[in-house]
Amino acid sequence: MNAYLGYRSILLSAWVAGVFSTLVGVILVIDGMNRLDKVPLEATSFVQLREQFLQQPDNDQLRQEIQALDLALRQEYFRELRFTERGSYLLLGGILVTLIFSKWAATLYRKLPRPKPKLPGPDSDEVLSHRGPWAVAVVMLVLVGTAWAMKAGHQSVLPSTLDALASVHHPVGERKSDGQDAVIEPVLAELPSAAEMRANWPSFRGADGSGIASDQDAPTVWDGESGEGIVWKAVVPLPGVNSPIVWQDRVFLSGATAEERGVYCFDAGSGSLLWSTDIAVDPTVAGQPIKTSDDTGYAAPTMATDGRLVFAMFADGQLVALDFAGNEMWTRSLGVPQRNNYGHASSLVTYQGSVIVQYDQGSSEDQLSKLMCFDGATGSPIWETIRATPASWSSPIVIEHDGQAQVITCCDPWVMSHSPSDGMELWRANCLERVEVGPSPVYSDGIVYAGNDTAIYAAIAVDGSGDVTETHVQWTADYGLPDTCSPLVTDEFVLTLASYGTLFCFDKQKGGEPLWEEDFGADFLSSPSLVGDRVYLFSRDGTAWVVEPTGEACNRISEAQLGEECVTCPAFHQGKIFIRGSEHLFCIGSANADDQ
Amino acid sequence: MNRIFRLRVAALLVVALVGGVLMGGVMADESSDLMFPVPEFSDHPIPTASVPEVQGEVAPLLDVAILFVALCLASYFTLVSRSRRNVLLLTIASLLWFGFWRQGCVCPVGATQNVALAIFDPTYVVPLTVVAFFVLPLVFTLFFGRTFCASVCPLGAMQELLAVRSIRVPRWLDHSLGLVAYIYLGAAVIFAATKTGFIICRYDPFIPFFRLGANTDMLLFGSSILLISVFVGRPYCRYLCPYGAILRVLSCFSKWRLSIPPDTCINCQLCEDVCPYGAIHPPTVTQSPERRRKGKRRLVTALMVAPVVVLGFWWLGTALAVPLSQWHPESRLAEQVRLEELGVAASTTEASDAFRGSGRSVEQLYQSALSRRNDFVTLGGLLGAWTGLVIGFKLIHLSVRRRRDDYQADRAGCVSCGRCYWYCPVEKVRLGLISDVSEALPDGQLPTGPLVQLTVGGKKS
Amino acid sequence: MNSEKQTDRRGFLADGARVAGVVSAGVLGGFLAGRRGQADENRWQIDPDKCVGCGNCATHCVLDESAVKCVQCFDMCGFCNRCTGYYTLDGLDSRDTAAEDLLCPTEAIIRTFVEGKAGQNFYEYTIDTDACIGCAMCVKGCALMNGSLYLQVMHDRCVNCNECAIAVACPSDAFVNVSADKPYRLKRVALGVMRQKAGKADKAAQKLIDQVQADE
Repeated sequence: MNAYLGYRSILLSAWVAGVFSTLVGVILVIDGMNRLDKVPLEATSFVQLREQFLQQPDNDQLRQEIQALDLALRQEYFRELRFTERGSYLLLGGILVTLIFSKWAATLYRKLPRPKPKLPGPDSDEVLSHRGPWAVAVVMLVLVGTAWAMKAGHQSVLPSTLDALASVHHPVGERKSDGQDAVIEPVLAELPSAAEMRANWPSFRGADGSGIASDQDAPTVWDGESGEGIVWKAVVPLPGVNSPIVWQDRVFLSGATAEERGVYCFDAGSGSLLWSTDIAVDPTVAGQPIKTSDDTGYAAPTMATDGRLVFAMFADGQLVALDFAGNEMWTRSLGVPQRNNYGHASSLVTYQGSVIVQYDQGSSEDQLSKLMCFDGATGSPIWETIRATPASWSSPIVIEHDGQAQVITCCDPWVMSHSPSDGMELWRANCLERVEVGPSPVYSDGIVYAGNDTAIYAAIAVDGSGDVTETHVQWTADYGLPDTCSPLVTDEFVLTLASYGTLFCFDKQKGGEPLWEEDFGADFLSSPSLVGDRVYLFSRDGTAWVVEPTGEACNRISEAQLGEECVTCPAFHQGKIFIRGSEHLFCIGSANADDQ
Repeated sequence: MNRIFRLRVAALLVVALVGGVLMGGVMADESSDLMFPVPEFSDHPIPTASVPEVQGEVAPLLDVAILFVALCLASYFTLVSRSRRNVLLLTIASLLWFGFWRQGCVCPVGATQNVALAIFDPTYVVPLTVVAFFVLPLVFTLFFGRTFCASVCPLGAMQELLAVRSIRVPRWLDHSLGLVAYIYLGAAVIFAATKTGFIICRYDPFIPFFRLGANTDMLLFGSSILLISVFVGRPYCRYLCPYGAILRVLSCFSKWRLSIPPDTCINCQLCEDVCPYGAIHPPTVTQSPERRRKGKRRLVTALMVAPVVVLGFWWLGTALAVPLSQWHPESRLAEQVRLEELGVAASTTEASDAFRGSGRSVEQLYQSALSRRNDFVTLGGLLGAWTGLVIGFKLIHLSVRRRRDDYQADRAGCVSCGRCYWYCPVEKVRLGLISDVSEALPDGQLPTGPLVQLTVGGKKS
Repeated sequence: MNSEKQTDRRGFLADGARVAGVVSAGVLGGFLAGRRGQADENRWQIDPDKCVGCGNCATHCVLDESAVKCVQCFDMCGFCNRCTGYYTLDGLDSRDTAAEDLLCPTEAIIRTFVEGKAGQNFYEYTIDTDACIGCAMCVKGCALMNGSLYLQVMHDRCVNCNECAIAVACPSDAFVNVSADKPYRLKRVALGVMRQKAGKADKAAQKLIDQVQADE
């Protein structure tokens, strides 16, 4: 009986000590959480009071308040230090007493374990050799998963070798400060004026990427089969889905297969191939697998020219500059695009003698996507900006607003504007959430129109800065959005063309629901263009329509046949249309339908 | 703010200049680097600050001697006097001395890293105490089993005292979780050898308790390990401790080791039930020929799979060069500086600011980070291969059967805590506490029925 | 019979492994001992020339009250009236020793008047080590001027962790290993001054020099 009582009292003591230790522990934890910052006087109340005091240095009451708070804070700090220290010792003591008493109690009332009768069956070694390997396999899986997560979670922005670093690092290090234009040495002839650029067709969808011709007139009737209205047609040696660009009397194109690549120059008047230059594969990327699709191929980006040199880019990330005589001036490999599902397709654009590349790839966490700018004359990098966006297939445009140039790009989820002189971001608007961006942005009268099927279409004023999603989006539309073809913005309307063959017309000022829609019963990959009041649409099977949009309906003017598949955008120059079919480059220059 | 500050500094400078001129040539030569010269006072000598002497130091020899004595005692208590009580007392003493008095540093577990660093970096001077701390328990284990773990290691002691309500971890789980310790060991060695950091010390769950204070994360980690150790015996020792991983292997070759009954085992199963660490295994059953064939097949499969596993993990390890190298602060700094240069970083960090102030060139930093990354391709591969080797070995080990005629402690898993002594009826008879083994059994009877079935064919009558 | 043979073979293997283990442990120990240059244990210390005064020392030490504290090198101090290590920058003008103008969060800097000379008042700034928490605010402030205040690991407090938690958090890699018999550092500028002073039979200076490891 006595022994039992002794056991009870020892057990009780152990319990009391245990509860005490728990209490002390809980108090310590609560105290630790409520504790001031580890350095006194970093308390917000003190900082605020001090800021107030700095504004009214003669306020004696405030001064006294500060002094009082200061003293209180310091005392509190040291009190807490002592409190924690004593608390820790109490906790340690409590735990020791608990342990000793519970051990004592356990010794007094030791219960022998009661083995459970074992069932006949495989012994534990047998079970172990059965299950062990599977458990080890699970551990292996966990390890592989951990390794994968580690790899995904730790990307490096450093290149693989220092040489690669040196080539990119130098110009970035000398980046100009905000708003200050980089001086690009004009090593060749003078840069063309903006008017000259507009008079030609120097890049994808013309000088400003709008698809609007500077001429007021272009042919409306032709037939590729019979040759009616076709001034000339010329075979393009290698396939490609890039569109022709025109500078004065020359038309440029590129073409490539997995093995060969070439840049071609045709005479605009006769269609004869003036020169063709084979481009060698850069040894640093040779043999690496390149992901392409039927819609992009190996030469998807449309070339660009600044009137002095022409620039071309290929699916393996090689950027090349040639002079007007076809001599290769420089070439630069930007690395094979990583995890780009359809293959690199963004076209090139120039700005004051530099060439800008939208090189989006990978996923948004990879930080592989870059907007890059290279000196046109030498190919040395001027700036590059890493962007946390996944791969996209849209092309950049360079616009000028209020005397400030901007390069506008579409990527998931942003429509972004950067300064083309130093790569500094100007503004961004969120309207391309989780889409594979195809259509390129278009600028007209201070507004950028951009959007993509499954996201929204938005008209964004370009005078903002930072995130302008809430402030500068003029209107949005969520029906009738383009998926591949870029929109056409006329004086009154925004026309979007869905690849399944429907043309939608929105009010340029209001957006919202389309004014009308017109179905052409054909597939489209080529973007609509505008000459005067007429819209040119080239469908995939080679049928072309010329229509005139009004506020109420779409008036069809004419329908013509190219006689060849067509997925590229036409170039308009001096009353002629240059368009690339699957095999030929066509120059269309017939009489107008009106004349007939 | 900046402007005001500059004005102030300028004003101060003017005051100082005027002061300096007025004081004439009192400026001492050596203080010419200073913005304000040290004044010379008429009757006030310039004092010198004093800094405290090193305190709390124990003579290195004494430190090693105490470890040696503790190891001797531990081995004596477990192997010769077979006294659980003495082992327990020694455990408490070790916890108080090595844990709370010496505050857990330096311990053999952490010393692994110092030794690794000393081997790979000839400029690093490793104190002899640390070498002795690393080597002594190894040698003792080779002769006496893991007596260090039982009652000398303060980390083990802490968990040992808390192992009161242990549940049995299934053996397959125990074996697979135990692999983590070997990987931890590999990682600790490569990180120590490359001066990346001493991760064993950084993530030591018991240091917050020995030092009575630490940051919240460590305290939470430590508390959860302690809480778990109430229900799962010695979780750190079994599944994490890198030094324990070494001792586990060495213990398999030990000359003497703990044996449960002093003479004949009566197969009462008491010791198996009481071992909190699942380190006592029952006698084995003789296998049917079919089972034996299956076992052989399993062994052949394991032997074939093992090299593939090694190669696979080696490849995986080489792919981890970037994340592994980023454990080193300098590599992280290089990434940050690069991000800042590209204009992607949201803001600068203290480290990048300090770097810019240090005058080191960016190229040098990048070069160093890149060469470290290259190193880690090899080292990551080695770590991977080591992991693969351990896994492969475990797979082979799992498919090999060893015969046991009675209850035996697992050579690797037994930490020589001596709990089983107290429960072993044969031991009690030896000590003269009881006259017959049946007195110590739960129902006062010798085991019958199930045990007999189990041991059919396993033991010759 | 068979099993006995097996046991023998095992025993032989284990013996071999044991001998190999002991030999390799001995070789390892001998190798490391032979390579040892210095006889002493290592200690952690801050290189004051590298320290940027980030404040991590106050918050990252495993001890609740950090082992790092501020040290005043009087031979580098200008004894200024307007001390940027003592006053907050916006409090410099008011020169009131009341709380609102002081930098130190624990009032660990004691300011005493020394002498008025050539129209200037000179003050001595002493660190109250018990109150100092090693937050480096004064160090940062003083760095704008002479930089006579600097942080040191105080070895009466430091428990000499194998891996110092502050060293892990240090942004400027200022934590270095020094030998236990010379466990302190001085700023490079102060080293010469202190040596001169010690040469003039200044005992305190000699004592400090003896405790300081120089990087030469």
